[in-house]
Amino acid sequence: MGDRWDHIPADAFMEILRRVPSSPRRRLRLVCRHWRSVIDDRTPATQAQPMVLAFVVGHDVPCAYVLDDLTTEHGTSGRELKLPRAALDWGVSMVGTCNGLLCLRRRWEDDFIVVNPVTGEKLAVPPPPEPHGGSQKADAYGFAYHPATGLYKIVHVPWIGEVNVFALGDGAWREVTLPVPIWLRRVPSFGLTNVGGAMYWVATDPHFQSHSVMSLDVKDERVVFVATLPVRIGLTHLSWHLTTDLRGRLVFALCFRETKQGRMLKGIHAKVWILDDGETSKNPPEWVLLCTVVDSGQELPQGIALPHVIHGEHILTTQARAGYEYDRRVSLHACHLSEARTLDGVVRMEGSPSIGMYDACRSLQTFAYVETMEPLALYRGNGCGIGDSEEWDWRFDGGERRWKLMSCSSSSLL
Amino acid sequence: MEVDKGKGEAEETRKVAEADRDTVTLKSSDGKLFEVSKEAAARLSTVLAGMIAGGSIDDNGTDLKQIGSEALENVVDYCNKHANSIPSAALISSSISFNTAPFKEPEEWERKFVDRLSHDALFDLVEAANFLGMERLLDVTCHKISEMMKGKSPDQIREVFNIKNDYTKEELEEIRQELAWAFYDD
Repeated sequence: MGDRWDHIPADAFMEILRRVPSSPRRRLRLVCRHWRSVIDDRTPATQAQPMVLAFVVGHDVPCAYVLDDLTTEHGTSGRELKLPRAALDWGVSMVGTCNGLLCLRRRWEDDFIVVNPVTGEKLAVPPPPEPHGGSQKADAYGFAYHPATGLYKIVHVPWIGEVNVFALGDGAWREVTLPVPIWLRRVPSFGLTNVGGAMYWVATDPHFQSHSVMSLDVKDERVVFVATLPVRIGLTHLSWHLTTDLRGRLVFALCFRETKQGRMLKGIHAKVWILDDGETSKNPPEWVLLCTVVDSGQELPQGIALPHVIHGEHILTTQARAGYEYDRRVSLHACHLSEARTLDGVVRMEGSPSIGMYDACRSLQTFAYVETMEPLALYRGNGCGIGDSEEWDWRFDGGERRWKLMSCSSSSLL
Repeated sequence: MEVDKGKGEAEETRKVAEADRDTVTLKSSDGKLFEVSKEAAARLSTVLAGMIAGGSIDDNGTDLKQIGSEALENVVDYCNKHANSIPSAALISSSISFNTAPFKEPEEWERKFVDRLSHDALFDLVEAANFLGMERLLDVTCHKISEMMKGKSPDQIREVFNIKNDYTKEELEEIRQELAWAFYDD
């Protein structure tokens, strides 16, 4: 049947390729020469320069801003992305971004919205089977992508117990069937991070003796041990985060207050490691200290931006200018690593240009973002399509054991 | 299929009936005749609509030399099923440009319609739909083929569609390198 593809009209071939999301479409170049030339010649370039996305929660509604210039000083907030109205609520948080798709969680409804801000398409994802109410923290969820197959999944890793996944296009959450060591507990506040077709988080044994990076293969859903953290997390540490850089490596960041001769110094320091799995995958991966970010303590409090701290050659930092919580002004800075890093790996935060400025900022999180035409309509089946609807509700179908989408106005199934 | 509707009427009405026949007869490459509702044909196929409007429809069977009987039977079957289905918002067509046109979701019956086809029949139908300018049918068949690719590795795709791998090992490795990560930063 191979020659079928030679006879297929060019327009029809385009129609078929158009329905394949851009990343798996790029992989189709591996099929044969004919396919590669069609994809290269007739479909738009699919790789774009990633940008920084700042997810800012202020007084009431969250806003997402895109920052594409990391080298010049800006007094502005950046270009605002249009979020669906349903996402404009105090209780909405960002689960993560994948290939330009945003996955948002609505705390009060306990459900999710996946949005492509470029096309305006959106998809509603039902709550996990056991409703958790507002008690489950957003950091128990992650948004993952498997490049080889184009699968998107939302992953829920509770602090202990079964891992649940929701694959876009499926109608229901599923428990991961392959065993997860039951005695391992996810360490909260680490969050989940996705790269190269796997979802990563940090787990510990009940005695907090060791902290291990675990990973879930997004395709076959196998959970494996990856590496032990380079340091044990202790009481002197303020916060800790697992994230990735743009090259697909794992990043571990640890924030702490530096002490000197028993005296607590002003200012927050952070150490950033990168998991180097080496050129050959035979060696066990090793954590390499990328830099120590130092706040001079002379100025206003400054810290590293999270969760997306390493953006290519830049390290992202934040500085809070005035006030507490609701009237706080936060600026986002980008510091070029190789220019700012001294020989002993120290990066001083002060002096890097402010690339975004946010007033009344309760929280600021950073993510990687690309503009994409990645279609969401492909996953609309199985009761996840909300079309242009701005309000919806879920009804639990006991028979099918899954949530069903209801439109709010007519109380009918969408 | 009923071919002789309108014939055997009174002589004076016959001429009118000929012109106003509500079906058209299509002839496949292997000479088989198929009857299809004129209304559905004109609505679903830009090519047939043009032929009907231009009067180039042959009552003894309009020759469609590019389309085999199996594919034409599927085309006609699709048109008839379509005429009987309730039109929905999904049928509103729009111009297509790469990536920007919205996707038209196949309806349940359309999914079933293409699901029962063999690979060969499906590809024949794509060609027929393309030839006849049947945008909606092209949508449905292309959707089906793209679904057959979903979640498959390049190896599996070659196997499913019986495509020969004409790359050398080195070339494959090179392309794989290019694809290593979802993001590049340089």
